Amino acid sequence: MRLLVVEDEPDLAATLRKSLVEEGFAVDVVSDGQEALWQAESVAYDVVVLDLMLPRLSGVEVLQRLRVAGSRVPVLVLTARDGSADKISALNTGADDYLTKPFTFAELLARIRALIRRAAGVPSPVVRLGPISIETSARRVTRDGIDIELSPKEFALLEFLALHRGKLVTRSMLYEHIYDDEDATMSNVVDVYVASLRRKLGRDVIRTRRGAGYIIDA
Amino acid sequence: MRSSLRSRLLVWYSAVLLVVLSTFAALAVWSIWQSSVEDLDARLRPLATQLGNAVQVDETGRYEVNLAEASLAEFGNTVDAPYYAIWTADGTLIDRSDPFVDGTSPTTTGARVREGRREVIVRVSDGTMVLVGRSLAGAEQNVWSAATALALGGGAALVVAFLGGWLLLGRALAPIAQIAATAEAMSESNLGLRIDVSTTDELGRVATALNRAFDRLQEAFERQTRFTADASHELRTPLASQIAELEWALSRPRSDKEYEESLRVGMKAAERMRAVVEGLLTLARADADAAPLRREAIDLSALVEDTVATSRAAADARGVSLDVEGHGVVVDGDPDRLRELISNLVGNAVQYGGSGDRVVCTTSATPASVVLEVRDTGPGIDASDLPHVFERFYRANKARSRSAGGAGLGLSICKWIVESHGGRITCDSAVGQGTCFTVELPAANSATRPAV
Repeated sequence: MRLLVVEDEPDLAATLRKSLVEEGFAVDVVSDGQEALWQAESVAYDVVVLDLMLPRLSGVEVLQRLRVAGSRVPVLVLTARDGSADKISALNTGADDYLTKPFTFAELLARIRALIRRAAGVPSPVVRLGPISIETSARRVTRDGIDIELSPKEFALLEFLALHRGKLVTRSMLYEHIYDDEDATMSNVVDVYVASLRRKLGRDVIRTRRGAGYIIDA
Repeated sequence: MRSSLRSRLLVWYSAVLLVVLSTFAALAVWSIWQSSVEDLDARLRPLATQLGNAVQVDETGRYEVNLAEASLAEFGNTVDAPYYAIWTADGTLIDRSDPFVDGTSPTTTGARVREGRREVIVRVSDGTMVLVGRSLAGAEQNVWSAATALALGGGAALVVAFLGGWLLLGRALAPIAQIAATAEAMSESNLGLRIDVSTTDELGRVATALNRAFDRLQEAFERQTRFTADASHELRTPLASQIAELEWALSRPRSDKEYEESLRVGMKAAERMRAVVEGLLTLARADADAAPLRREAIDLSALVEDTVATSRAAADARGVSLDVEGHGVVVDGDPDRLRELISNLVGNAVQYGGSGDRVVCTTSATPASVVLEVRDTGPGIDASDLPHVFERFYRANKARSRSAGGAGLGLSICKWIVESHGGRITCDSAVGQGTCFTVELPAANSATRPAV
């Protein structure tokens, strides 16, 4: 899952990035509204975490322009202001959720995951594929109740496919959603991970559509 | 309240109208009565003269009235018809038109009213007295019908005026109701309401004055709200950063280097919160006028040298050159506050400056004032930001001042310090050329020093 964190406070942005990366997210950080807009328009993020007080373009303006441009990306707004006016205007402009600073990271994480589930139309945090069960919150995968060890990227790839169950997912989509701008990898890395996931989960969980991509059957 | 004012005004207005109408009616009735009576007199008098001249004495010494039948026909037996009586000069009754007419000879000539009748008495040349009278019923009839018409007309006018007055007063006083309703509806969450001023009359002026007062209240309220929100923002942001960083550090075992980095981030956030809290406390004391100002003669030039020395390390680190000009300028003031002022101004200039920039602090004196100038060759302040630099939490360049660790209160505090000394501070800046803060303080022994 790929996130865009828009935060002009450099320390907070750095902390959020390293915390979210540890939770298996691919995270891009930008520090002003204009950059946020460019970035959000060029990458299909799963969630945008948007501070409201930003240089150049305010968070609400970013939100407004994103929605006018037709973007459906879930947006979680961070605000350091009291009072409900900011929250109301953010929600009315198209934000999906908000958090008031200071917040705990656990809450931010839970809200990001909830937004991802909601966007995928999967209300349960646990996705079952036959004998395989994927707990998206605990980032745990079991087969017949037995834990299966997955690397963070393997998990991210499986989670993305599982949340888009029944839909064809291209290699470039997978690549876009599990790597951020700071990751430097080869493009065939997706095939390598799929091969490794098949070894651990069984051959038939992820099916290949030749020349198009991968799919987990509904 | 509105209906009571309306009815009070209406009662007064109606009462006045009633008095005016009654007076008018009384005068009218009186004048109709007068003219009726004069009319009657004018008809009776020629009759009396005619009668007097018609009296003749025959050979037997008998008096007779020698008047044409036609003239005598005027006097009849009806109640309303004129009547007459004639006496000789010595008071003997000669003739009368009706036996009921009082035969007593009148003593004076002229006109009189007796028992509802008007009587005119004339004396002709030979001394014969003639009285001609007529009932006043006709005149009374005139007066009564006029009075009735006046009473009906006046009553109708009064009713129309009452109703019209009620409506007019209602319309005239409607703005008061609107003003009251607007003031009533105004609340904390609804300060933008204004009275709709559609007239330029007295109430319109009241409404305009109230609207202006509302403007000022709203502005003050919004300033306060913004300040609270800004203060909250300035504290919440570093707190969020600190909590997130410490949560990350504690979530699993980290390396020494990572712990050190986390502590550094936490410390930086704490430092920023300290700066905000201290600034807020200073300004809170300033607002409450709770901070007593010390007054003593201070060598401002030396104080500048002293304070600048503490900023030198930071200036060197950024490659900014820092110079002091001016000697022996003495000012009357609080040394701690003035030190804070200089430190804030110089600190700002250094923080915003980059390699190769120059900061010059100059002290000088004129007979009336002492001037401190802090001039830099830094990035300058945008013209649109310039009017706001002394506002609390105003940041001309948010990102830069953040990273410089400012709380956004430094210049507000400077302004308060200068003003509490009875001086003024101004800022002059051009983007790309630099900024100059000028502080003007009253001279040390200035007699016109304002009390603080």
